[in-house]
Amino acid sequence: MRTKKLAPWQIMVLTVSGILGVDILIVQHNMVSAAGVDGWISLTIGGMVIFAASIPVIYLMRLYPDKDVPQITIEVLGKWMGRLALIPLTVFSIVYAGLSARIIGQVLKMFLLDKTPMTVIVVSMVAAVIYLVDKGVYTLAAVVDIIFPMYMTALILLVVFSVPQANLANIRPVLFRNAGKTAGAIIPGIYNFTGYGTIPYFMCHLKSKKLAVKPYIIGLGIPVLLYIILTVITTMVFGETTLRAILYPILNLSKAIEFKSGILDRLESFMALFWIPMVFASIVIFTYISVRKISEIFSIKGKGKKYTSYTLLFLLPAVAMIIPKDLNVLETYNNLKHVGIFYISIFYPILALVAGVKKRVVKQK
Amino acid sequence: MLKPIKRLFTRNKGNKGSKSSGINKYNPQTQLDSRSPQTLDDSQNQQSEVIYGQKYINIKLTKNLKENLATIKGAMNNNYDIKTKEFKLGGRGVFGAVVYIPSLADEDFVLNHIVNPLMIQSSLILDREDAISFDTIKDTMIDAEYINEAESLDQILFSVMSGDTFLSVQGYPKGLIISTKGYVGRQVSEPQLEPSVKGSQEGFTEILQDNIGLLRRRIRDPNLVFEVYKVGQRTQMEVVIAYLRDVADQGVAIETAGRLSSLDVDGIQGTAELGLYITDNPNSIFPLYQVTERPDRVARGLMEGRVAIFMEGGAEALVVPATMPILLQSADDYYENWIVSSLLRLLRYGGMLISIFLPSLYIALAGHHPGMLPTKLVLTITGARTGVPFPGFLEAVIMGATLELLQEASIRLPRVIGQAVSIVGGLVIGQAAVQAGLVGPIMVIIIGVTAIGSFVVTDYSLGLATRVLRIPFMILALTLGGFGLALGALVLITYMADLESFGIRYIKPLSPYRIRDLKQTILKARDASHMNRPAFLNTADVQRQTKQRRGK
Repeated sequence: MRTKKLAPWQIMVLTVSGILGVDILIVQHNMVSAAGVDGWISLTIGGMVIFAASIPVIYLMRLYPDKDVPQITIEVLGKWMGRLALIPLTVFSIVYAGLSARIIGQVLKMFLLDKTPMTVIVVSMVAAVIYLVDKGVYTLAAVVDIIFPMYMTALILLVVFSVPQANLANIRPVLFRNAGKTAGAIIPGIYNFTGYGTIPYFMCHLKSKKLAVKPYIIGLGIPVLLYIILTVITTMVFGETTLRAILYPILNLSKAIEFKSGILDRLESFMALFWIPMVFASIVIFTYISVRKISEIFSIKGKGKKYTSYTLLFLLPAVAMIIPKDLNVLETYNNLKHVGIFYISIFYPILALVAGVKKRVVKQK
Repeated sequence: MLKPIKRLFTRNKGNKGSKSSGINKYNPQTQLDSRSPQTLDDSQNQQSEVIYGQKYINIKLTKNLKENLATIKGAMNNNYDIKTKEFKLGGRGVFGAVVYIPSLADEDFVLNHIVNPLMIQSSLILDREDAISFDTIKDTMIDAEYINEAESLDQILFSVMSGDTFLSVQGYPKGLIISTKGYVGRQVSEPQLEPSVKGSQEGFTEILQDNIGLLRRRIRDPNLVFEVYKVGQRTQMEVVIAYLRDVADQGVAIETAGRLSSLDVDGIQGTAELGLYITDNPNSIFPLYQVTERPDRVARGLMEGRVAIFMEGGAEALVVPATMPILLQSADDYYENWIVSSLLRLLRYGGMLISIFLPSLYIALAGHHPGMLPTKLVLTITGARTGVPFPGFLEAVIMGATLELLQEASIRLPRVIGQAVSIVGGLVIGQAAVQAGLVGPIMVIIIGVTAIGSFVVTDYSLGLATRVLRIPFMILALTLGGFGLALGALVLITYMADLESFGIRYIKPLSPYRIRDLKQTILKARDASHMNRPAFLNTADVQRQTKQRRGK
């Protein structure tokens, strides 16, 4: 009956959700490990780089407002080259979604369900993800839209309640004999924003004909700001040395909060419940874009798309459980992001360049 | 020779034109182009499209009165409730007869306003030695709401069975259908399921005309249109769609008309049952339409740009589209200050969440994550559960099942006994179960609060849905603890986000966010600043009021 289209606000929510994911749980540890107390500065510069990296993405969306990335890729690079270029992206998004499920599984085992087998957690999480992906892009956006305020409120409250525990001395002196390391950590800072490239998969479903560039930019800005604030606050609360040793500083941050007239004794366990929807949203987005790419690579249409998502019901848990040791998962995840962001950061500019040249040639003709 | 009615009914096998069934055929394009409002009176005047058994169309009356009466009575299986009265007209041995059903028609009217005038006035004509013509009878002798000529049997049968009277005159192969409907029905009374503290105390009745009148009294706008459809091959019930032509989304009106027209069922007996036939998703446990017995709520719905559906014999109206936030509104919200009403609406959301999640939350916390609770509370819970032989889940299941039994029993029993059941169940069984050590007192409190939570959900069907959802969440809490609850909630949101009510997403305006709509549906906007109708309803006329009043 009615056309199922997205509102500009949903573009912003999808951008934020695509970027956050499990990264918000580990970004502080990663940044402080790379740049010490000045990790937040590297992160700020990394965030700025992401804004620059979004330019070719926006350009592509302007050129092809009614197409998503796989369709644009095939149109610009041709059938075979396009499909070939999409394969690494597809592998990346599948592995990213799978490992995200594994990491949240680890977090839940650590803070909430110590006796439940990891496979059960991962499989049930993936089943819920596939159920949503199967419902289509509009329902996906609506669900992400609804859960967005939940975890955003949780994050804001966490920051507010952590302030009394913060010690300014832990973050000072700024850039003291640390400029080199800080500069070196800019690239790891960028790694935390791999989700910036997910939005061209959704922009073509926008209700209005006008491209929602502003919501996209705001959507990029929110995670940058959140990452910086959380890195600053965790550094101030724990200090550099402790933060290097903590794998999931956000969860430990909730542990550090004390309610004197407490209703809840273990806030970190309670807060872990709020990270589930956040990670869920991110996995859903990456699973959806995986399905889209697989569908285009193999020219799957109609009901076949449903079966593609059902295939991921087995593939994602398999990817998640492929690494036997828990400790190696984070390392693999970080390495994957390195490779992923490298590929994405050259993929979009090249695609935009070829698309621009092609358009110019067509115009001249 | 007439065939038995049973064999004469033809089933509608797909869209094969008007030939196949007795219901109006729907064509969105033609509906759009030729949407002249068909009033109730119009529909009664145009009953020719009603096919009461396809083959009756071709059966025409003859000039022989006796033969005509035999045909009509034969078609109605000579039922004892069919009454015929023959009388003499004029002075040339011309006879007339009326056919009606006393239980449906106003018999006094038939005798005093049809039969008597015909007999008396025809005597006057006899004095003048004029011949009585059919047109004279029609134009000068009878005074009724409507008088229509009829020739075919299907028209006559339907009219008589709807409470009208058929007048046949010797020598004419046609007759008159005279409006004499006089159903005996319930008086307008207080709504049973939706009482209001400050609002109107009027509720719909089972008589369609009365319900239409209740609505007309509230909206005196010529753009309020009523379109009539016939539903049920055998029951031929009148179903009326009401909407404000210049406000409602025409798409919803067309869709509603389409769904009603495409119904192919032998009979539907109530408005709520009709809702199940035209719902977007028959498998949804959530109600995808609003069932209300309050005229003020229907009027408000129409003013918002929604469409109402009435059915003959139904004491409720359906209002579509209905989204979850709309279903959580109450009639009294509009009679209270916006701050109070907003808080009450939020309270209802809280009640719904409590109704779904509280028992499962208890199971998850007590069973999987006792460490999340303060030590003192854990000790209290543990102390209260000492001696209880069942695990928390089983305890919750036992008490939950008892609660459901009590609720069902109190509904089915007469009101006085129902209250007694509630007291026996709530106080006696609960207290006895705790004293016997079968359940802990905390669980009784949990189930009690859960029940109260479900009672604040204004829509009965939505309340039932929350009761159904309790069970899977309890199982999830038992197996996966808090993670199971979070995951279950995500699946529930997905399920709800995918539902649609007449093309409108069930969760609107929760997504996409629109502050204006959220202010009007989740909360209640200050009446003076409630400038526009909810945007998610895609109304034709957006503006509700032009000037914002800011008080003194």
